[in-house]
Amino acid sequence: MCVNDFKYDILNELFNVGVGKAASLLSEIISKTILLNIPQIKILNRKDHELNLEDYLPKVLDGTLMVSSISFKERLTGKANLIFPAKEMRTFINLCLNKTDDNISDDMNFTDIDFDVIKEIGNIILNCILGEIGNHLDMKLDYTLPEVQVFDRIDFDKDIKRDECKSIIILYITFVIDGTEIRGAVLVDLTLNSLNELMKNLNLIEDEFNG
Amino acid sequence: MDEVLQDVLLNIDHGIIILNQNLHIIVWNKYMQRIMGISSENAVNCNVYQVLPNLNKNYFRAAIESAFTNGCKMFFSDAMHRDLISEKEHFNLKLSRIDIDKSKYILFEFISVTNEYMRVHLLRSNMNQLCLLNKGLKDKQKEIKKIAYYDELTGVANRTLFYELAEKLLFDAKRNHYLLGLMFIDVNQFKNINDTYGHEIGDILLTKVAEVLKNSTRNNDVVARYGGDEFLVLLPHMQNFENYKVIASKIANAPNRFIRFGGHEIEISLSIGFSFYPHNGKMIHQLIDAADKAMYTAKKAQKVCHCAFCESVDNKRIHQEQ
Amino acid sequence: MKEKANNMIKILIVDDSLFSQKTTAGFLKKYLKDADISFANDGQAGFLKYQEMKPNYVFVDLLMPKINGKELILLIKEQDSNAKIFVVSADVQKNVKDEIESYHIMSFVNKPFSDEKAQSICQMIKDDQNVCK
Repeated sequence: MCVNDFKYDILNELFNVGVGKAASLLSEIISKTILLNIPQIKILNRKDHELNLEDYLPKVLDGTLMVSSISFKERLTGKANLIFPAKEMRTFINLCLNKTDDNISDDMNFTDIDFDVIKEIGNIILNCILGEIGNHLDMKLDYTLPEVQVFDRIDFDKDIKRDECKSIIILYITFVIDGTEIRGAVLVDLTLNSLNELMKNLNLIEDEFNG
Repeated sequence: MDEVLQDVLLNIDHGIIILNQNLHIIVWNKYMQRIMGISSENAVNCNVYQVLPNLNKNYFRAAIESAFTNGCKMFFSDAMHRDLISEKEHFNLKLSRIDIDKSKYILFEFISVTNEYMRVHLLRSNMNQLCLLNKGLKDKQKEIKKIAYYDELTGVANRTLFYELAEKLLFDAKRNHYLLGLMFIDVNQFKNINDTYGHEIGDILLTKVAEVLKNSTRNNDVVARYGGDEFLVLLPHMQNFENYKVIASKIANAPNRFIRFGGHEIEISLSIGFSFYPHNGKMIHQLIDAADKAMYTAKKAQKVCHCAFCESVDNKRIHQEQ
Repeated sequence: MKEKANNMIKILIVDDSLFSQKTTAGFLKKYLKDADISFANDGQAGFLKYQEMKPNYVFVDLLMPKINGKELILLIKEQDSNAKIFVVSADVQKNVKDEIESYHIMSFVNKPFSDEKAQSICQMIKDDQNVCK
């Protein structure tokens, strides 16, 4: 699917609306204004050759990564991951909890409480995106609350490659809270079948407009 | 609802609430009774926002609606929603939709994280203490360093530090082929002043001398107290040995070279000897010796300074002439 | 010929998503059969189109490249303080909403556009048209 495709535009808009909704929800919860960038999704197909994730994940997603993942098997099969580098996640959490604890604010040791916060943030963002896709494409996705894991960038790559998923949709997101930029990404990996299902439904919408 | 299921829900060790589509409570278990202090009789059939007014927020209402419509699961962490139900205890809240007999209901699960919270709190306070201790240790380290390397009275480098730095600077000078100068400074009449005016004045005098030396030299020059009333100054990267005259002049004319007390006035009078690497020696003790001798020459001639290098140059000329 | 043109309601939709443009247009056409709808893909093109066609109503998305929705609204209002603008956006934070509404827009619509919302917006337009006549 190339960038000029109408289908790409639809998917992009769905992701955008999802992120926008997530930002408003989060903003209400933490009582702070969140500024968003205007993300563009990237769609990667593994096909026959090996995908070099390094080419697509920017430098910013280096080192230790905090990943919230939601797996789904109905109607699409795949995984949605919200990824933030540990440092950015630490800043995100501190901003959400209004923490200005001097010694601990730079602490890369994430506690149980931090994990709960990451779980919630992951749920909000991924829920909104998957919900938007599910609603518009008439594909009710069944999934649970996110699992939170700490990955090293290298291990994360291996993890993705291990999946049978052959297609990856990447969305880079940037939130600005209280003047601080927090950069991360959403990665949705789908099996080839699921991507085709997705395309089919996108086609239906395209036809509606053209027909 | 199945009796077994109902029994389980009522007795489970989590807070359980079940809402119907009218947002009325139909199940309120024993755990909820305990944490809210509200009995089942008073909660069942009431609107959830009546019983738990803290939940009556825009985003929460939207979340419940979303759960009914889309069946998505919601999670509210204690940390981000501190005032959700209890001020004293800590709970995470999970929302999910359950379908019973073709009707939709919302299941609330309140999971206690009070223990985690306390543990984290303890860990934090331990870490804070460790940080403070660490800072204290670092401060002590600084103090120790000061005592080991600096002269207590004047604050300039002591012998130990001087020798360490001298090694480094000599190595640099050798490697990069530059001039390294050494000043040997003696305070004239020090013993006299001490005996006449007392040790306190003597101390003040030494402190003043150190000040003058520091002010008259560059940032990278090393001023050290060699002992008693003797000072050494290392002058790395000297452009030209002739510059020694400039330094000496600066010291001799230092504006703060007077000490005034109880009607008396003492002017600092110094005898300074200069020696240079590589001309007057390749090792530090050679340079010190040469500078010391030069200082003595100056003292005898009642001059401010004398340069050992010039001597060797002069000697060379004499030899050549001869 | 001239009369016919006067009956048509001129609407300009400014949004960087083609999908969003078509969705909005589709809903509007459903309830406003006489609408003449034009499009622009970003704030800059939007402003130029606005000056060119002088639409009755403008639908603006907030998150756009080049000139964003907020800036576009200010530009338009500068030219014509009575311009009738609808904001369509996924970003519905209270502070954002309050600020935008302070520019005297007609209404704020949360994306995604729905049938219900379309009906209500189109009713607003119809009422507004009756007032103008």
